[in-house]
Amino acid sequence: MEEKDFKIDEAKSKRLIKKILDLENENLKTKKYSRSEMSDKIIDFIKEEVRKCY
Amino acid sequence: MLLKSLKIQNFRQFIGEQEIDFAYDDDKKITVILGKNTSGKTTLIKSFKWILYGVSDFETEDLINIPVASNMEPGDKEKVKGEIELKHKNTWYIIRREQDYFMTNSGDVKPENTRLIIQYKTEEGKYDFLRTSDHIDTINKILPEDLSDYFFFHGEQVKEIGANRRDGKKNITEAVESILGLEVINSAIKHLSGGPKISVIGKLKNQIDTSDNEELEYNKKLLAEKEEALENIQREISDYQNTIEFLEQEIDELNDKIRDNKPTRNLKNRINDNEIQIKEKIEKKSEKINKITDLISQKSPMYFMQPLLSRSINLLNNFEGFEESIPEMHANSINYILNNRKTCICGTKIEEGSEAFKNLIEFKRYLPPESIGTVVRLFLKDVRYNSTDGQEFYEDVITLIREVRFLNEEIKELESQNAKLSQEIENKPDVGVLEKEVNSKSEKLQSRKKKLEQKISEKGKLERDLEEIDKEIKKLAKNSEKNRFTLHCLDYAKSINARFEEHYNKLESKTRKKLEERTNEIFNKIYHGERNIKLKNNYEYYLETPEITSAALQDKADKSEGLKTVASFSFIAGIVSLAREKIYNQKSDEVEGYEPEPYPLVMDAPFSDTDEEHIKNISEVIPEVAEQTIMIIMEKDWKYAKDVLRNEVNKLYDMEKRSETKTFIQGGEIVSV
Repeated sequence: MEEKDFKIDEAKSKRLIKKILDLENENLKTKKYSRSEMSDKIIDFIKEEVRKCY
Repeated sequence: MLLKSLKIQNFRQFIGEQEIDFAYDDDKKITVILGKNTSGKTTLIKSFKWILYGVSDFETEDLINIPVASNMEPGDKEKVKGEIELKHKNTWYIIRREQDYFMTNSGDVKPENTRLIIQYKTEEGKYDFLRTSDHIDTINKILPEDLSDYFFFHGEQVKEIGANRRDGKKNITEAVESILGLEVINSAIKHLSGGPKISVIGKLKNQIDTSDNEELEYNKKLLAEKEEALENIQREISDYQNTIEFLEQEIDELNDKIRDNKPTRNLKNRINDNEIQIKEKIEKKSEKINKITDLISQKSPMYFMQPLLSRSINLLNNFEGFEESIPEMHANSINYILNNRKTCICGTKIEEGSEAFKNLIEFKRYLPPESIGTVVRLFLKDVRYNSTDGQEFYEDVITLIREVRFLNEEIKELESQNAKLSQEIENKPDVGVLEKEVNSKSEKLQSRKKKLEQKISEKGKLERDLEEIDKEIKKLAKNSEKNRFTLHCLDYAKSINARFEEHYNKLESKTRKKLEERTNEIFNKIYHGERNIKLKNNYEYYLETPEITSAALQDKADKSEGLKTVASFSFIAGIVSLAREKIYNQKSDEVEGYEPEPYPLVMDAPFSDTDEEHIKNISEVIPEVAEQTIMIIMEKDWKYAKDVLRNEVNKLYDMEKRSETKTFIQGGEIVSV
């Protein structure tokens, strides 16, 4: 299977950091998600960004 | 967090429902609650901690008001309630705690159920109940329990908090950082890398597909085992570090006590020496008394017979029968001459019937046992001898009695000295016991340090192993596209986590520096001396004295109680002041969405041990640093603070103590003082 090129883009990672911080801020206020749920949400963000990095 | 109101019902001496509405959201930000000694000022402060954290550290366990409990009948139920209304991060909360009390058939009032109810205002303006599982977390987000001692500032207690964590429990680092806006990044780091099971990195590692690859499966399992072991070791290391710090502080404290009580040790030594002397003297006294008893039993009859013997001597001195006898000769001597020797000592032959024989027979009458003269002479000899003995008895007994009396006086004197010395060292620690404690704690400390070294080395090895396993997994997982994607996500998560950690460290150091600066600004407005406040990495503070160059000796410099209060006040005022400001630049610091949060200063006896000048100085600082201030204060201190704060006070309450078990809170209207 051929390996795709993968590179962490600085601008995209800044965008990801912002998304994570927004989520954290929101959850500090609403307490909507548990710790494990928060991890799942962040994983979704990461997967979304990684897909864009190929 | 700003406080709107406090309600308490049957809480300790506060009978019935008592309510305080705090000055809130107004130009005048100060609420003053005046109270005399023992009216319940500290209880009021403690009610906040009970409502929020369920903590009650009163000398007597029961929270229920005594008259209320006394009026209960078997089977009756009563409630102790407390309620705080507050606003935090633009959300309104009502936090209520209730404790039921029940009277048993035997008449005992016992605590039963306790409840915590938290309601928050939704965006629609309705109050909703918060999930029970979120209670503790929410309260700690509003005000971390470890910081609550500062925010509910009790002048008497707060002097040592922060300056040194003698109790070995409170680590205020996380709490201070949370108040100062680092909790968002902290929370992100926790979600990304906190723990192998529920963190982002942990979960992504678990998502690596191991089907049809036994080697990968084995390495994944090994990784999970080693990660768990690493987590355990990290916990153990942290426990050892805490214990070591705690023991070091305890040893320091004990050594301080030993140094401070050196004179006590000398006094204790004198007491011990005196006790040894007392014991010796009591033994000597006992010996003398035994001698007196022996003398009395042996010689007293003769002594008491002295008058009678004296009269016998006088009488027998006139006896005339002594001349006929020969001293020391007995009738048996004559019998021997007559019956055995048959020759006198002069050589004359003694024959029965001869003149010499007759003379000897006649002479025998004057000799003992028949001779009275001889008996009398022997008796007189004995009497004269015993008469001397009687006189000696008297002198010996008198001498011994004098010695016993003298010993009694000496013992009394030593006992009186010891009573005085004991009074001087009363309630002071026994230095010998303290030294033993230091030795025992030092041994424990060494053993913990050794174990810590061992654990650190085990941790290093585990980390190296994990690195190798990680590499191996990466190598093995590359064969499938799905796993390659997961590995890329993992790399991305690690890279983001590293960024967050880097930011966190940068901001944390910036925060600490700012807090130190702000604390000193406030401290210098109140205290006009040479000292300043230094913050350690863990947010403990100490007073730095410029002329002391050794860091180890800084903490030993003399500090008055007033100075300690001023330093504690400055530290908490620094946190409160900084919390309400935007201390981070969103662009350069990447703290998106961080909003500053105001906090109140709630102070009980804030001026304890401070003089008039410092009361005024502190009062000048209060309106500058806090968005809201609640002062529970004595009339005598308020007298000085009032001049400075008169234009800042919004509400004034009075705690009216009607008896030891009944206090009422009155007033509350907007006032001009």
